[in-house]
Amino acid sequence: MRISGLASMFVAILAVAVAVIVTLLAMMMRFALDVGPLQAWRSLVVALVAAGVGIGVVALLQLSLLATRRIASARHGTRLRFWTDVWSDVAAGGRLPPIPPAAHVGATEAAASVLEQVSGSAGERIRMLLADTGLLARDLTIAARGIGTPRGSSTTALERLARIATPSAVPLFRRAATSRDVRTAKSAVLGIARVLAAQPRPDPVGDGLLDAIEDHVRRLANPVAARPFLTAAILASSEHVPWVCVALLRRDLPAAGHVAALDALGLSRRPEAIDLAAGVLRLDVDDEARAAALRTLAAIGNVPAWATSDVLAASTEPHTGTRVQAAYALVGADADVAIPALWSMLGDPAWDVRRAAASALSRCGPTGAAALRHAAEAHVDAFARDMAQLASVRDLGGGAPRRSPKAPQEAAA
Amino acid sequence: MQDTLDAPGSNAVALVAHARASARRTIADALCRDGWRVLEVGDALEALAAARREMPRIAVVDARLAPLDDGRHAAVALSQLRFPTNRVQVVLVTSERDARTDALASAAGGARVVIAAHLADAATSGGDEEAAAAYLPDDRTLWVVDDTMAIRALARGAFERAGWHVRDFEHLREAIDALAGSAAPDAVLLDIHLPDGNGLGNIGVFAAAGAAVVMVSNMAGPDQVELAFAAGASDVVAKPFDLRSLVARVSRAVRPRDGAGVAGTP
Repeated sequence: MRISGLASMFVAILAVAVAVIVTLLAMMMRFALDVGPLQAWRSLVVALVAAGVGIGVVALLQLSLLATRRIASARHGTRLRFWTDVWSDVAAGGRLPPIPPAAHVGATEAAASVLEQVSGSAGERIRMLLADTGLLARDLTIAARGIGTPRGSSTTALERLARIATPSAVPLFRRAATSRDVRTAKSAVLGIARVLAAQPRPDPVGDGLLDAIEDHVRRLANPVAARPFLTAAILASSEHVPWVCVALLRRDLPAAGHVAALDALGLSRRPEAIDLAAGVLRLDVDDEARAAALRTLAAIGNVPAWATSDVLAASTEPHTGTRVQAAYALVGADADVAIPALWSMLGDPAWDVRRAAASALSRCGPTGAAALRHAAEAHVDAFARDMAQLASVRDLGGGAPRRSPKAPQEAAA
Repeated sequence: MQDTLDAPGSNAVALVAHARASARRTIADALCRDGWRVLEVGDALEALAAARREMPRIAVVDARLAPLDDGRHAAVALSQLRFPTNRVQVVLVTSERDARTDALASAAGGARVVIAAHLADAATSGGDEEAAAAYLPDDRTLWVVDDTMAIRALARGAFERAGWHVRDFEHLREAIDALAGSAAPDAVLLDIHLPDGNGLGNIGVFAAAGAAVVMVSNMAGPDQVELAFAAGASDVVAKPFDLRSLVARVSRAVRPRDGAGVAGTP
């Protein structure tokens, strides 16, 4: 519901509540003090009028506040639109008009929003003009003030700097990454990653990003919850994603850091991801990291021959998440190996694993589909038959086969 | 280049500032072969920004490059930069030497002048999208369908400067309605994730009307790229994008519909 709607509802509820309370008080006075009905009615009317006036004043104040906020928001929007057009023109080669002091925040905000969308020479031109006009220095100063004790304006300035992604803000980002304020630290990590994206070489900004990520992860009370953000931050480093991921995987980090690196690798779909993920699967002992490595292999859709045995071994590990991801990763392995393994996994004690195995079989081409339909009738495990039946209908659009079933090895052949 | 420049040290940086991409590439290739790490830029402001950031040892500058806002030629501005360990050694490249070039070389601290007539023809030597885009006629129409204000403004600024007529839409429905009531544009720059629908699912609507559809998205994975091309998109551009490349790619997407290619380009 919009704020104005909430305010109207609030005023209406307040009015009804006050009217009920006043009426009840008047009735109590009538019975308790035994005053005449005329006096009671007079008191009731006076009280209701007073309450009405009070509510009217509150409503008026509330509406005035809303109107003021709306006007300010509309002005900010207009200013933002104007400066977005100006910076877009500058990006295309136009000149930057003088920026009045009152428009500094709006102009910097607009520049940040333009810089999020544009790269190359146009981006460089805008960053250079931000520096020349003093807007960058202004935001650096405001943001620096809030690193020790975060406040609204400094955090907002830091967020703008993260979107502007100027190399001159990297030292500030490094300090801010150690902040206990999560919003500040996140802006700092994202800012360094975006600066790194524009660099031809990963060092030295890359080292700063690695340190910032490590500082951030180590300070978090719940690093697991930060994984999506860390993955997004790593992906923001663009062409340097493989370098960042390799370096992070080499560091002794909480598992969330390694998992985020592996997830970023998977999402980036880089060819390097296959060997890196397979290496983690072979060497890492953490369940979450191993599951993430399998998830990466599944995202790329390719399991190298030398890692097939590791994926098969993962399919029988005690950790349910690892077995689920192993099932999905097997889609990218050789069908002769994958289909029998997935057939076995259909009978896994965990529902999630059975579900993943059925889904994986449906993605293993005609041979996998045949095995799935066959499992719906012939699997020794009743739960496996149920799951295969369900997946056949849902994923393959059909039921169990009518012809005689085949063994999985036969189907794979 | 080799006879005019000092031998590079390990990882020495060279800056090439030339308005023509093909000429930049030709110079950069020569420098790379000589062991330089090369930065290519297309205008004076960009050259200055890159030089401040990367502190190059040499700068090969087009003598005909448009000046900075303060009227200085890039060669002069670069020659005035002072770095902790070195100064920029400026080399002016020109197709023909004249009094103006000599005056410029003198103002740039005695810059060397290299006559490279073959670079004048480089733009039409084939395969240069930016040069080819410049040959397109000026009556093209582009529709930008994107809910991000900055994207609409950036596309408008860049394409209008390139001679296109630009119309922008925040919502997919507005664009589809406009298609029913007016002539189809030559090209549509279409976002994937829009507030009132998915651009991928509506590529066919614009393509069927005869527009070249170029998708823009910050989350275009291989699956989406595959879907976009299968649905008839001419190109897929990832955000953030380089403006000049964007104009070149949209121009290239439109070009095949003309029936005849641009001279000297595939």
